[in-house]
Amino acid sequence: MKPSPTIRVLTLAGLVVVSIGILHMAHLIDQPDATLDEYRIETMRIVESHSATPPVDAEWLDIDADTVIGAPIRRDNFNSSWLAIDVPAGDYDPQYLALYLRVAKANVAVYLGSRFVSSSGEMQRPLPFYLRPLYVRLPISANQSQPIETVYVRLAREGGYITPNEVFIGPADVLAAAWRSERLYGLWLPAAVATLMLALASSLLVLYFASQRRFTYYGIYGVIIILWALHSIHTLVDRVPMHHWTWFTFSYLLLWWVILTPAFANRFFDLGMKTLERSVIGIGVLLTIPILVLLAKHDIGSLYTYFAYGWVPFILLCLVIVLGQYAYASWRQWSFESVGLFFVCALGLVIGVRDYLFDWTTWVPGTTYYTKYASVVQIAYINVLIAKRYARSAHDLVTLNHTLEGRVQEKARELEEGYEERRILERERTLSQERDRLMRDMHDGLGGQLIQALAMSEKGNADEDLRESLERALIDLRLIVDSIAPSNDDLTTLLASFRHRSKRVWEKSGARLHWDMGDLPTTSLSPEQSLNLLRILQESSTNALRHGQAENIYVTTRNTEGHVRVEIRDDGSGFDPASAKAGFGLANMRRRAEEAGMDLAIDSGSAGTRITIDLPTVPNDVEDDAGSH
Amino acid sequence: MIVEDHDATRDSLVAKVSADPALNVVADVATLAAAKRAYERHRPDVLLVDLQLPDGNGTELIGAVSGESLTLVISVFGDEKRVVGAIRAGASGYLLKDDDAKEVSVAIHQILNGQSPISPAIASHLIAHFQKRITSQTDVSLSQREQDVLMLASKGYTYGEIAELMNVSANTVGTYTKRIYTKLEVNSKSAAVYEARRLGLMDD
Repeated sequence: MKPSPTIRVLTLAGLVVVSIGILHMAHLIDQPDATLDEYRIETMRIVESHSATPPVDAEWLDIDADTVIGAPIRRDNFNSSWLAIDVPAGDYDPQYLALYLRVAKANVAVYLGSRFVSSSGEMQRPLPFYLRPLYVRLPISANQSQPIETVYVRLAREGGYITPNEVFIGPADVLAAAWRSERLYGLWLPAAVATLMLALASSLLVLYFASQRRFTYYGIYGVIIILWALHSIHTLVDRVPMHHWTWFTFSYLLLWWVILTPAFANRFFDLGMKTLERSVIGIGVLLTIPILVLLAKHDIGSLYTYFAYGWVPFILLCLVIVLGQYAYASWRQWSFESVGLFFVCALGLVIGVRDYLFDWTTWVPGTTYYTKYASVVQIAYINVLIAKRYARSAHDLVTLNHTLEGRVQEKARELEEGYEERRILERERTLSQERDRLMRDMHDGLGGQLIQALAMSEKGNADEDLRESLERALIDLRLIVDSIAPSNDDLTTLLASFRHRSKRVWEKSGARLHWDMGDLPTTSLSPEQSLNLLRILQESSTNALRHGQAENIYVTTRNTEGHVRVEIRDDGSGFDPASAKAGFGLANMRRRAEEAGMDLAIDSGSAGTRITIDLPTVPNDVEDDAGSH
Repeated sequence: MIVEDHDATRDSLVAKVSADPALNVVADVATLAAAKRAYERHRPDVLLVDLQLPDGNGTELIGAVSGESLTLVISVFGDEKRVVGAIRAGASGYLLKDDDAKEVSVAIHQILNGQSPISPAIASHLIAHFQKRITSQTDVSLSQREQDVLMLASKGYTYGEIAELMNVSANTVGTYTKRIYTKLEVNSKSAAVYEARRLGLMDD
């Protein structure tokens, strides 16, 4: 369900607040410690010189540090620049004095008076990329009568600079703390993040190729991270293997990672804005190629300037267009994750504009680029997204496997059941065909002839035995047909059918039938069992009606533990089990009961006859279930 | 009107029906085609219909006249499945080929009074049918008393005994049975409509 516009607006407002918070935090980190402020150097002198030692006698130019904010000292025409800074008088122990250069993008050599104190590296091979804070202890001797001396700072040649309003001289402990904190935030943190990101990028690219390049966003994200890490490579190494102008220009080209982020988002959330994205990236690539060609051929600071003026706004413009489209799409297909990513990208855009203005104008306060903070937020957020998606897919996979397994089992069971059902149907069909054939035979052939023979025997006063034999034959034929009726595999149905079938006989006899069917479990009698049981029932009822002259006949069924009992009881005169005729019938019944696997008990006396048949019940879960519904 | 292709059976049925002065056989035919023509001409109150006719199935005729006339299926023992099929099409009951004149007359009067006969096997079939179809929404289900009638009938109890066990009259039991048959017919028709809709044969 998509959230209402109110919730969306509130979410957006919340994200705006969070973004402003992040900007503010970057600003706070950028602000020097307040205690540091009192040691800031306000004025200094500068001179360009080829001298390797402090040119004390040169023509020094006084400068006010604040007036050159944002325009760092850059002197390209000389081997080195010299700064002269007077150690201010202050309420501190002169034995523990230090010089702190917060923004140094050059190697420096520090002299106290004419005395060499320290150097951050060689002077002939400058480090134009390596921007870091520098801290130097100033060993002012205790017995010095004149505590105020001049500190000379030599900046290495070509491109190196320091920011003049970020120079401090003061107590060693305060400055060392500031230096350590600056190193942590400005250097080591980005370096650590870049290292981690490169490791992450390699795993993502492996994932991308291992997935047969199905998940494009993994690939894009891997490329983003690599570009970003390359862009901040100067935090990792102090020497990049190319000319520094080439490097500056190239590092601007690496801003591609910014524009790739919305491309990643587009694929990650499947927003479908391919055309726009492709045209923006296409134009970008077309513009990049000639620049790279020029870079390969020339070493030109003017190209760098032109390029930095033109390329960065172009990248930012592309980002505005792509982000605009992305904002529209993620508003429509609202999800918190995608809106969050939009904000992270937008934050990158705002900070990118800020850094651009910081670099090329004097309007923006601050001492350093903020993009490093924005990119850490951005990449951290994307990491969370990818990790979440990965976790979700892993979970889905497990669930899916589970479901699939269940479904395979279910299908297997269904197949088995289907097979069983078909087998039963097949059997029923065969039985039914057989029954039809028998019924036809009975009505038209054998049965018809029996009926005719019976009628003839009745007319011709034929032998009683013959008549009875014919009658029995006819009845038995009917029983055979009944025994193979498909529904008659159930005991209750079999008994009920038998009663229904014999209705006329019961009515003619005048005996009263007491029918009492208990609740029986569903049974599954074979046709043979059914036939044997029907014959026993037939024999019993015939005996009761014909020989016992019963007035009441009781047929009862009961379900007890382990077996079902059918009882046929009458109040007739009974019979003598020992008599030849009765004996023959009883033996037949016994044999049939045995064949059908039932227990038969016959108890006959003057008070009547009681026949009990016990059928073992086989527990059958499936049928019990079906019966209870 | 009697529809039966077996000459001997048809003649004997005509004789059995005619034995009741209250009943009059308006036509006796041997084929489905003839039956349809005769039905249009005579519009009988009751039809006795054999299912296996030389030119088709009697169920078709039963379905066609359902609602206009009452029908009894002419059947034999063990033929319950087909009888149930005929009841689904709209038959009110069944006769056995070897029923005597009295039984035939009773059966016809019974259905004219809005009652229907039932046998244990038919009851079993119906129980299975209604159990299977409780899922369909359009289906009419049985009331508790109707279910009781079916259950007792399937156990072999006669109408008299069922009436006694349920504390109603035997006629009421017959009426219940008739109602069960009607529900079966309604359900099978709604199933047909559902199928037709599903297959796109009907618009609405």
